[in-house]
Amino acid sequence: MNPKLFIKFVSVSFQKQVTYRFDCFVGIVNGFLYVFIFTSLWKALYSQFDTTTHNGYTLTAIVTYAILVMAVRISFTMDDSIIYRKVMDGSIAMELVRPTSFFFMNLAENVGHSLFHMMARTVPIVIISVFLFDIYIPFEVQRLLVFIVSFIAGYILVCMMNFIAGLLAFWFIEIFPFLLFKYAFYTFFSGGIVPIDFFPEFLKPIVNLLPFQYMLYYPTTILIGRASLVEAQSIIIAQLIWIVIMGVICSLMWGAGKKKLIIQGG
Amino acid sequence: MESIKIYLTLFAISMKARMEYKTSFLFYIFAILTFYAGQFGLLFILLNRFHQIKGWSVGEMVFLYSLQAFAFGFTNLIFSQLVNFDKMIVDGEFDRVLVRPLSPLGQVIFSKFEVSTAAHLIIGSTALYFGSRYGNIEWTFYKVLLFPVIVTGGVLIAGGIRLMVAAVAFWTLRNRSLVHTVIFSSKEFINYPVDIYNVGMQFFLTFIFPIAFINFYPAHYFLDRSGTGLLHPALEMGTPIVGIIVITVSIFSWKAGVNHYQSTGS
Repeated sequence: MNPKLFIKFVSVSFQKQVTYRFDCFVGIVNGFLYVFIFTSLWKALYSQFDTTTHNGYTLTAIVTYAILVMAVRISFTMDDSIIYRKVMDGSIAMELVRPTSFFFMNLAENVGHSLFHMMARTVPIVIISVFLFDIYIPFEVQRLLVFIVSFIAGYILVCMMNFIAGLLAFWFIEIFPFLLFKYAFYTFFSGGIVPIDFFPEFLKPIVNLLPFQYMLYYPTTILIGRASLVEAQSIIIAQLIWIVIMGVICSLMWGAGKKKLIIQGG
Repeated sequence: MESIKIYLTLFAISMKARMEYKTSFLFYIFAILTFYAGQFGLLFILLNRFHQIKGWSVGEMVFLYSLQAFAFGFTNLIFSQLVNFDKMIVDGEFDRVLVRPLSPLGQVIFSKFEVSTAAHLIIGSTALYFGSRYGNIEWTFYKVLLFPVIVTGGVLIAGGIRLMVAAVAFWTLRNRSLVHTVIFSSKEFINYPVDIYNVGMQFFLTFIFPIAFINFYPAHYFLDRSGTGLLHPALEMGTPIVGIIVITVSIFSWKAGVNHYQSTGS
């Protein structure tokens, strides 16, 4: 897809978000609510023990993780029912006749959506949190650059996950239950609430078989300095492998879905 | 009397509509159960590692969860239409409600049946069983008698809050993000015992946004934890009274909203 067109789509999608200013304010409150709950929870858990480090995390480290993983997650906000709605109202037919790749158009729409949430929600939440909580982020230029790469890779994985879930609308009339499954797995296995380091041993093989930890957990560990720069390299390689695997799934499903597509008249 | 018959008919029709797709219904229930299992799973991971949260053991936490599941389950059954109430206003569907010779609130409430209640009751009962067993609850006659009263009080609190936030749409029209934050995200607060939060937040969740009465305060009574909370022990019995206050205030704000209502004209 040509980059100019891509950027155009991104900006249109971004502007659509700007119109809901009140929603945006509520969104900040909503994100902060989670930050508040989980930082309180970790503080309560840690306060029960004399030992200051649990599973490699000091209280400062775990509070930093809780805030930043939420910040990353909010930055990844996208509308996961776009494809479903397009199938429902029949406008998917228009997408099929367009000469541009549907996947990249969908990606552009998501990027615009997410960029808005990043600026309007992530940034204020992180700024407020820096003042309210005792957090520590190592500021090394190289680390930040590596984080950005890993962050983008994680973002692409989340987009692909949503794309796959959305394509199910080609086969099923109701996809809300699938979205709920997706949400449950994503929340649990991505380390979005509890970092993978705290997971019991028997769950770790399952976690390692799934792509979710590469969406939130690993990018965040790079940012907070838990992963060394050498480890970061292998993290990014693993992310790229998952992008290839999920990319293949996306294109296979899209190919099969196009043939299967049933549009309810309307 | 006549109107009650009409409400019941409305209710039966919406129930039939939902049961039309049986597999989809069962699948939906299963998805909701998975979602809660994930949430519960994370709690278990934390409790497995830290044994308790501020003196609340696994069993006691599970009991806390059961009270919440029952209250929200019945709230979903009765007050589900209020979640998307702003859509009724924006689409002008509420105009139709107003011209009928029945209470607008009654019509709105009975126009939708929410199947997720079944899932909540499964979770609530399971949690109640394990919570009683591992939380060492001695079920005295009074406790058995009080349990449904407390759940009803919780439904009045949660339902009243839904009604109040839905009524905001009379003034603001679209209020989806507000509804989402106030109804769903705020639930997250009482997944954990409220005493993990700072005093200001405890005060807020007790007197201003009193969801702590849904599970935290009454759980003290059932678990014989009297005197461990921050505030006066009398609050343990406060749920029904708080419920009545919340629902009364919310009905007044709903009525004020109906009086203020001017159609969008769409």
